[in-house]
Amino acid sequence: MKQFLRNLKVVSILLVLLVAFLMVGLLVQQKRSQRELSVAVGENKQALRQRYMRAGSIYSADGVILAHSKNGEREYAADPALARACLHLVGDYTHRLPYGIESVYMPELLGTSRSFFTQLFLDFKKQGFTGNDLILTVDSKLMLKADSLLSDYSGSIVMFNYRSGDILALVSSPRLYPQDVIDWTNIVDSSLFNRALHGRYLPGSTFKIIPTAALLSDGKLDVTMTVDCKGKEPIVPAGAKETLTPKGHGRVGLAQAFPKSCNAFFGQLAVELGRERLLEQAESFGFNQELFIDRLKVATSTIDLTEPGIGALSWVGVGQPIGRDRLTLSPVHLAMLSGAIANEGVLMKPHLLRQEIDPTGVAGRERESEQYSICCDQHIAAAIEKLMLDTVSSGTGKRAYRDGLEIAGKTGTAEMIDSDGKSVVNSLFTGYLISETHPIAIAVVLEDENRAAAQLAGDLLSYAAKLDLP
Amino acid sequence: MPFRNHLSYYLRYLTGPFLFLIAFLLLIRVWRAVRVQMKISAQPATYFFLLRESLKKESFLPQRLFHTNLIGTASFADVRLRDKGVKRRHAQLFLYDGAWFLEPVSKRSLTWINGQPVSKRTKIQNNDVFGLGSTKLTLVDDRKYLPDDGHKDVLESITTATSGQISVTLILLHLFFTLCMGILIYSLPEPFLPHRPFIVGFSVLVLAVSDLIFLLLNLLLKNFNRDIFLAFKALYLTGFIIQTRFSFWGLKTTGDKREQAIATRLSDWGQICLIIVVGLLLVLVISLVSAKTRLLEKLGLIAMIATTLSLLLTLVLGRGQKTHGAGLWIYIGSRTIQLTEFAKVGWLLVLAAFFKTRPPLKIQIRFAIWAAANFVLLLLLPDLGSAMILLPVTLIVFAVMTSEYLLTSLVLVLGAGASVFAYHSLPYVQRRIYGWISLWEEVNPQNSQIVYALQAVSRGGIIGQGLTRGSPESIPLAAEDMVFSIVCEELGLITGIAIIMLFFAIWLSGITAVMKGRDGYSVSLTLALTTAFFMETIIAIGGTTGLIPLTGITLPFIARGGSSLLAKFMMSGLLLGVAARREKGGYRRSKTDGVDTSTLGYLSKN
Ligand SMILES: [Zn+2]
Repeated sequence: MKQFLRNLKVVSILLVLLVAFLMVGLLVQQKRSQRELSVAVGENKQALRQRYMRAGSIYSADGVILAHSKNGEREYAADPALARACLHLVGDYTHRLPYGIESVYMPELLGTSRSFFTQLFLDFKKQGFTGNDLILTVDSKLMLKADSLLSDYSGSIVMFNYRSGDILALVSSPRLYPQDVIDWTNIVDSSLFNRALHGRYLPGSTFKIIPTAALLSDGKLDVTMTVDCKGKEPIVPAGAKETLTPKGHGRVGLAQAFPKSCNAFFGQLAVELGRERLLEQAESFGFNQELFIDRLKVATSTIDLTEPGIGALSWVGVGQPIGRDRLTLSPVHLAMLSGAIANEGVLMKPHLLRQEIDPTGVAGRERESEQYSICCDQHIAAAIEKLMLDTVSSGTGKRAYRDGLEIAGKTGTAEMIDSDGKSVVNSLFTGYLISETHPIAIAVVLEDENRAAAQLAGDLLSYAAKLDLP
Repeated sequence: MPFRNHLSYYLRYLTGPFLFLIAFLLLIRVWRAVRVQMKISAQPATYFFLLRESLKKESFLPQRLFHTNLIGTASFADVRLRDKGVKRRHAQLFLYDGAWFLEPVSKRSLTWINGQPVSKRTKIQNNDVFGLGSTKLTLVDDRKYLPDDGHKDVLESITTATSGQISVTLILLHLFFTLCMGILIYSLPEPFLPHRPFIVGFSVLVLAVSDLIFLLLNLLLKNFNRDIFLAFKALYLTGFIIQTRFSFWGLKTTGDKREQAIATRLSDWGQICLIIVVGLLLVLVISLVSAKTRLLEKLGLIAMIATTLSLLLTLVLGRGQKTHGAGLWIYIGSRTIQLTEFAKVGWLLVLAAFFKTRPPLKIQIRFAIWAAANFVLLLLLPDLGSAMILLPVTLIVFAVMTSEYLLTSLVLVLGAGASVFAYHSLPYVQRRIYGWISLWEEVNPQNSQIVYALQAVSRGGIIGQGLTRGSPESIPLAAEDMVFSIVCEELGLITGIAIIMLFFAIWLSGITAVMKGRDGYSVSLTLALTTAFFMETIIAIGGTTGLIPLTGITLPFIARGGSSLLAKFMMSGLLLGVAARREKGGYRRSKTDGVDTSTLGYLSKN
């Protein structure tokens, strides 16, 4: 009897533990799936349509409807061009664009993220049925303009307020009309890919900002160093050389080399800085670090220097690594490089979501600006700003120059091998408008194009400068 | 939107919590009962003791007795002797129906009663002297000091629920059922509106038959465990509600075939009602038969053959159904039957028959061979789920009934080895495991079902979205394998937890019955049945929520499937029956010769 009872007790304890495990496990699984599984490949479209029938609306910062539910249908921006421009950002209810606001903020839009008592309160007011509205930081006019400028290019444009961190525009091309995604028709190649968030590009000459910052902040190196640029003749064996100016720039210091984007100078600078110093400076500007815009994950910009030899190192200095070296940059990060310089070396945390409003009209707390990281000292940022202004006024970025506007910037042209093994030249521009009313940083990346990025940036910044931004 | 669509939405604040309250009340009561019963069972039997006569010291030592006592040299023996001539487990001394019996554990443990050697179970009386090795023991029966109305244990009354408690649970259960069915019938989709009277009628029939059976069992079955029945009732009514919801919502067919589709849906639903009614009648018959007769004990061999036969039959004739990979369905005309569900019941009967007491090694080996053969059949089918249920159940029953810890561990190690082997040799096992491991990384064909199920669970939150407001169309096999996720989506996690609590309450009630039981067969069968219910629940729920790999086991009583439901009703009938088996009352002063010796073949446990 004693033994039998003991056996029973042991088994009982085991099963009590099992029950506890199961109950706790259930709670954990529920919480975890609320966090991680709100979107999954291959979800039933009909069920999703049913669910989004009561979803809240999505507004742009200037109050234009980007998505709303009406008469049992989910509808996107009334202007088809705007709906198309916002597709990558807003997403669609079928979750075929799993990184759109519709997918990532589904719990808020459907109201399932509310606490029990909030929901009870809303149900009591007979308003618990619908989800919350979301107000984004993007400006519909800027989105439209950026999208129309991209026209037939493959590429992306990112604009953000470098004082507050608000994302003002985020467009990617090629793009689709939401209805085509929902019906799964007329799907253009690579059009579902959000280049602005997930593109990984070679930075090209835009990367030169990093060795510049390193040179200016380094106490040991001579800031007044000069290099004799011989064009096609590399300074170090198999090192960086000029591709566009075969005759070379002659003897140049930083003040001339930066606006002219002299490869010989920055190649040599990289060699003198050394791998570690370069890596350290790149990481202080956000390379090799995970980046999120609210809940949206941005492709991580990477720098990985494993190729031996100073030749390879000099190529890294001009943003065009060779061999096993890796250097990639996302368009969002490209805009943030300028944003940090513009904001005295302090990078603001990027935001896309301004406010959440519940069905009774009670608005949630407005998102406050916060610092994200300090990239460099204030005086270094000021020195780089000077160089970037020169670039636009008299250097490689002249196409971005607009009378009456103070635009700072840096261009880049990067040769990349695409997935088909074909060599493609991409045109990049990163810059900003020096203005207290319109503190806008911008990044433009155009694929298979070698110079238009600066032009587009200039057009867009001059357009933005006339807008009345909230 | 019309009020009709909102009804279930606003009433969701009641539906889930209601079932939770029912489960909570039941569980609390049952939990208390188990604890009290543990204490009772650990108490010695009053009015009896043993006098130990030490040959060397010429003195007498009084020794208290339990209802069942192991005599031997082992540290866990109830009457521990230090005597070289006595084995670790030498003999059992137990009280049954007011009489004491002595039974040597094996033929080699020499035992004498009043100088006569005995090898079988023998009845002993007051002042009988029995010898083991060099020890002499005398049974003292002091029942002449009993009061006239016999012995009644005060604690005993605490373990049985009062009718007040029962009626509260019963009323709550009726309210829950009426509320849920009310919501469903009120907001019935348009094509089924003309059939509303039929639906109301059958729902009332299901409830009425439930109550009738409950009443009849109360009257006819002595020691009827009402808590177990109520837990079962809460479960199959929840299942009925969910299946009604599945039957009348989500009709997609249009055009000519629409009328036909509606008719099919109605007849399928009618069939569910019918199965519940038939199942309840089975519960009545089986529980009465198994409580009042010893028919079950005679079924051991038949169950052995029938189990193997039905597995073989399934292996030969079984076909897959729809998207189901495993071929477990046997088609009879247009109907399907899943014999493996009944094979599981057969297995439990065999298990109980073998381990009613600690059998000699020869018989243990005989069981092991039979079990291994059937296990191979299960893996060939493949019915991984049944294998996963039967293995732990068998081990638990074996370990509790025989205390063979070493062998149990050995079987565990063997089982682990077999699962490693199964993993490497059976591709479908690999796929299942892979799907489970990659659950949070990617959606693939092996785990998409669980991913969509978990999405549903996450949408449900704590109290659910309201009946009919979930989206079962997004989960493959929502009404069958994945039913738990829809329960959670529409009635909330609170209902999911209530279901676990109800099954746990059944297990605890089973354990109370196990401790009250006085014969080995009832004890082992009760243990087997109640553990099987519990394991099935854990494995089904764990699988649908990604806590363990998916096995294709369906949630008892809740999931769709006629064979499964019927088999579960049979198991409940058995459980209610054997749990009600008791001694013929407390001991009295009057002569206690009225023992039915035919039952003694199945007596005694450790
Ligand atoms: Zn140069």
